[in-house]
Amino acid sequence: MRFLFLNNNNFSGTLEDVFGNNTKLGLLYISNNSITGTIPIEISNMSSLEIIDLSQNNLIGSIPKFTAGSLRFLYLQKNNLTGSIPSELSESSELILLDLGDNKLSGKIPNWMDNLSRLRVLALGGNNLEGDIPIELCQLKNIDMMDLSRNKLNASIPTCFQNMSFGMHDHNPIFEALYQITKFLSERLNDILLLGRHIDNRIFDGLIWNENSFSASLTIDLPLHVDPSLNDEINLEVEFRTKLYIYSYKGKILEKMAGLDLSCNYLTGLIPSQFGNLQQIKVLNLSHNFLSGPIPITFSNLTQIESLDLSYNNLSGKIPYELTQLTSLEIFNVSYNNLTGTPPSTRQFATFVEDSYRGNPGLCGPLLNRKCEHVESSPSSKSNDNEKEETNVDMITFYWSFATSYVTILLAFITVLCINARWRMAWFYYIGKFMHTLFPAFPLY
Amino acid sequence: MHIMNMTGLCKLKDLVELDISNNMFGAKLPECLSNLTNLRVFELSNNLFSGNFPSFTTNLTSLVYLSFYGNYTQGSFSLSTLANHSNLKVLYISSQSTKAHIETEKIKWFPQFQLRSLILRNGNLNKDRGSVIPTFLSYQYHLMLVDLSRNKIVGSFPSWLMHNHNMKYFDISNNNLSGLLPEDIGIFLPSVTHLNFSCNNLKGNIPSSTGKMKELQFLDFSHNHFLGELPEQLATKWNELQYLKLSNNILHGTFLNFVIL
Repeated sequence: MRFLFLNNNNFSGTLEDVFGNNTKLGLLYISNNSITGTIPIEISNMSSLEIIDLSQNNLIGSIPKFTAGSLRFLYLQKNNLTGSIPSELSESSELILLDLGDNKLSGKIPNWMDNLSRLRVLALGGNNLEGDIPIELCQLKNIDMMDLSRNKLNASIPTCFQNMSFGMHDHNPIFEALYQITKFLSERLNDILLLGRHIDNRIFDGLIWNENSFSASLTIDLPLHVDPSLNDEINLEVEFRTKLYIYSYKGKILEKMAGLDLSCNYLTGLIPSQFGNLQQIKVLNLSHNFLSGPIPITFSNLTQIESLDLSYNNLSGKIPYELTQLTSLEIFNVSYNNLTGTPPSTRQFATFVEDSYRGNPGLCGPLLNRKCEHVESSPSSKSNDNEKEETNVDMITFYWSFATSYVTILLAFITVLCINARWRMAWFYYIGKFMHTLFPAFPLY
Repeated sequence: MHIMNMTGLCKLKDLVELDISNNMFGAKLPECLSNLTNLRVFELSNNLFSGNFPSFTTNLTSLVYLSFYGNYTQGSFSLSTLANHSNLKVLYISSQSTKAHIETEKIKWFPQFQLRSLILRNGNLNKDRGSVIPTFLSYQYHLMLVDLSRNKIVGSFPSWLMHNHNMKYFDISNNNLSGLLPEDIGIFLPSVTHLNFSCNNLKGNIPSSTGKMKELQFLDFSHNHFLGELPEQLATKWNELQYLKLSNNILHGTFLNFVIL
């Protein structure tokens, strides 16, 4: 067996003893089943594997050693794998795609990542990875899609995010890296055509040629005919969160996709202005972190960007007017920050609604129904950081004023009873009468 | 070669084999090629022919081998025009265009030929007649290669095709076939090497008789509604199997008996 696709079924059980001594397997798709247990150690001996897709199962344990030589696509996402990212993986230097997302991996992002210099897709999102983003990641010059979202990364973003591809490099079609299957399927296609001539030599026996003269036309070497549908045959897919949704990218669209997702971490510090050098990037998501400082003006260089999400941070300053140069921008979200001034309203920015800006008390203008002079006089109230804190302040004021008025009224009432004896008698009479109706044993004055 | 030179071919009255495959010829073929009545091999595959299917093939009754495979030919082509080509053994028709229409049912006809090799691929086969499987195939007993893929064919699995015990290559992928696979498919197709039933609406179990297909190298049953467990020890019986695709079905069970050789 060289190419095995069992994905998208309901297979269960473990992978133990399944592989035997197979060294020929080039493709292994078992994704989206209900496989349990660990990834068997034999997989490290399978030296021909180009694609391993074990994603969307219930696999546990740590990531084993994989063969260094041929592995190009490794999909292990959506399992229950634990432990850290093993250093043996650094030997798989041919890797083009590494998806370990949505597991329970812990530890730091290793600093040997630059060994995987051919990587075009790196997905580590949805784990428990902590620490910083190592600067070695910036050495992945061929990277087009990177997802580090939903982890516990807690340092500042390195300033080296430049000179990386993110769509800049013209790569060969991703599936051409799959030498074995491409060759296998193309050859089969050509075999069919040749089969018609080979299939039964007698076909041509009755013709005027003798066998020798005919054999000349049999030795024609047909050019390898790569079927464009080959890409569908080998379903290379990458999931990436874009424009509020998770999309699955494959085929030609995958070749054109470029994005960086660092959302939902504990990242601090400034947004590096070097992001402006990623001129072909289509998606940038830095939301749900603790980033501060201004939105870099260099973002106006991201002319291909379609989705820019900076929401839920502590960004301050004005929204640079230069961003109106981003004519491809479809989704722009800076909500829940501490931005001030009036958002741009021309070009693409004419299409954004209030949701893009919500939770920025310092933002003003007709779109936000806030007069600018009023708001600009009060940005000194630093506590109005975002709407959440805003409501907290309201509640505290409410409690204080409620308690104060309650005590005041109570004291006034007691004072009146002390001073006026007739009112005091009437008060206690009616209290006694009321109690008597409830409890007849209660003595009536 | 420029098209104007091609009319010169019509003068080669004794021509027996014309093979211009794997080039970039794109113009219309001259109708005078109908004069080449001695032609036995007419091979045009993998060029850029984009006009209507030629009609002069009706006259070329000596043809043994006819291939339009991998061009952009459009319009209608009726297989009944080849009914009297009693020597025909190989017929390859496929188009990269979506406007091709291969047709076998417009008139009642009986084939004088016994084909070995048949490709009718991506040709909107019988789209005006309910996309039925060609009935002339039920009179074919020596087929070794059948590719009817990408045609929107409807109906149940053509079990009568299994009368062709020498079948090596069988591809009916990307159609709308429904129903069950014959239980004894493996007994009737013992020497098949390539089976592709993917992207249909087939259902039921994968027959355990498939284990009898000892020479199987390529098996693709993906994107159907096959269910149940895999027959026991299936993979160990398929010693030659190189490509196995069962994706996107409703199969269950463990891999316990499924050693991947």
